[in-house]
Amino acid sequence: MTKVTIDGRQIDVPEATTILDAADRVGIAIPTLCYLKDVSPGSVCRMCTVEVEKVARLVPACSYPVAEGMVVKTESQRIRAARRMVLELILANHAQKCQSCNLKGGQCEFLKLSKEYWVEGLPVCNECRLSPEACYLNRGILCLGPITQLGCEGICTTHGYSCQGCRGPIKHSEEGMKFFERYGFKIEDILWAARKYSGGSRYFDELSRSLAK
Amino acid sequence: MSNISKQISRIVGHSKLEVDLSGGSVKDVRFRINEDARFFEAFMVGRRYEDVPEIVTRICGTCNANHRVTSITALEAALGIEVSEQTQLLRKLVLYGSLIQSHMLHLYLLVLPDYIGADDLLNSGKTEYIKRLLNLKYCGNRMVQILCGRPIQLIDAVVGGFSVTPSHRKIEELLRLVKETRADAVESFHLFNSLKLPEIKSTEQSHISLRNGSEYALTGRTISLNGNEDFRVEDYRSKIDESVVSYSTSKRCRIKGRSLYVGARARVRVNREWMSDESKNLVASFESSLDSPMGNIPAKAAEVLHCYDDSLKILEELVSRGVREEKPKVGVKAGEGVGVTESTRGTLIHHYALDEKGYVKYANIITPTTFNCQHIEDTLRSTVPELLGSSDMVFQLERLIRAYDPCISCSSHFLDLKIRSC
Repeated sequence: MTKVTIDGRQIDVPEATTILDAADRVGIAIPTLCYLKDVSPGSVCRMCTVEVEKVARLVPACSYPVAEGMVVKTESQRIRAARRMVLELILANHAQKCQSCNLKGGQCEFLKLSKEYWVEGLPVCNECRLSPEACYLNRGILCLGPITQLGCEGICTTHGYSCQGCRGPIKHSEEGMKFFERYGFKIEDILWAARKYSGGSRYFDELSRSLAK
Repeated sequence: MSNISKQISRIVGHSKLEVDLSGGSVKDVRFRINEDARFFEAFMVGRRYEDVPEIVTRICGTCNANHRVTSITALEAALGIEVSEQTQLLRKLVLYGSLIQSHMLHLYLLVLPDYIGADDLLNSGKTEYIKRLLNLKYCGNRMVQILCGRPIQLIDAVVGGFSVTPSHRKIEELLRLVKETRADAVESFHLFNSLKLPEIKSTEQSHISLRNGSEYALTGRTISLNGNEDFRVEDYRSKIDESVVSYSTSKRCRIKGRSLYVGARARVRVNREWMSDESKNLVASFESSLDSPMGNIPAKAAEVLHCYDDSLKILEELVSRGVREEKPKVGVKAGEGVGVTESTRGTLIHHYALDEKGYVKYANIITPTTFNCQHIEDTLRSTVPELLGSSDMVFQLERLIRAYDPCISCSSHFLDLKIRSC
């Protein structure tokens, strides 16, 4: 048996147990994305990074085995920043896929973690509960979901109201704007709608100025 | 100057009382609202009519439901839309919910600490009051949330009706909740009626409130001045004089050159005969204080009880006959309309003109605090000389202003007294 301390709690576990399993035994949940129990300790996504005393780098909890007297920390500023970075990197390649994904509406682990780690740049579409057929954009109604910060759980869209952008624009509004082009909305109309709440944001301010010229 | 003054819009925030005592006597008393102009009326011009109810809810966080319903009434008047009876009942419930939560918030958090010798309620150790407040506040918020999707910045109430009709199950839940918390409303009344209110008389007794001759009016098309002189809401411009004073960003309103007050006190005076039986009896116990601005406090508490009783009646009716699914039907045309409701703090007027495509050409909003401002200042002017020299003058004046419930709900420490003397 090996004696380890996780977040100040001591526990004896069999040798070669991973940090993830050891933490699980004392009821500490470490977030994972690519890890599949009994199948693969992926250590690919790096979502489960934790701090181990006397080890300089952050280590993946899903594959790193415990050692005698090891002291592990699963929450710190440094860990949070690293995990957020992981999520942002995934998101950089993922942003517009939520529209067509079956998991939307709260069961998506990635979305859950993104909110928990305050990842910027996720639009309302990601948590909107409308089906693609009911989507306002697909019906030709202008909805600012793709460029609006999530967090409202898309309540207006289920109450017969397209998104008006009241939570403000997302970090990369220009990415979302590309989305509208597919549906053939005019940029002036989008701008007019977005100005209601986001006129003071840098992106829309600059866009207004450039269009005015 | 007149076209600039139109853009001055509504106030929530900081205000200041200034008393000029140079030369040893009271030279001037000023109640200043020095929040920046907010330009709501200006930036609604040029937008579609659908945007209006949504924008006006952002004027105020406490009474946003009232702003929304009022703007919808005004737009319906402009577009010539008649809404169904069910929509009217549901809207009344929304107004009741807003009234309950907002009145209770004001009475418990802003007024009560003055009378129990505490700086604020949450740290006063009076847990039973806090619990009661939260029960009532929850009931009011829940009422708005069930009917309109969100407790604040509501979304379901739209021009022509409701975008989503609340389900039968939700109405039943609401009925249960209202029944459960009614006892708290009764106890609240007894608490606020037992407060030892200071005797302050206001010299000016003009007041206005909606009146429609069949119920305790929160909506309607007739405004009553002092309960004996009625005029139609469309004529508000010729009856009410709006003016601007240099030291305040809120406009001042007068009728026939006299300041007037609005709010629960005015409503109780005008519409008393239509209150629920129990609340009507309770009004008799504080009748004498209705002449004083402090009478607003028991009047509010009695009004909450009336809201409970009438909500119960409406909800029971809705449960027994069922809620029908209705879709709002709106045809766009040019027009001009005025909408008035009784909001928490008093008579609220919205006025819009639309062009033939449904874009707003003109907007004007008069909030209750705009009415009350001049009355507050006049009452202060007559009260200050009496209080001069007393050690707790600042406290007493603050308490007086709080009784009016000016819409400065964000902060209970709003007042900053400046005494100038040579």
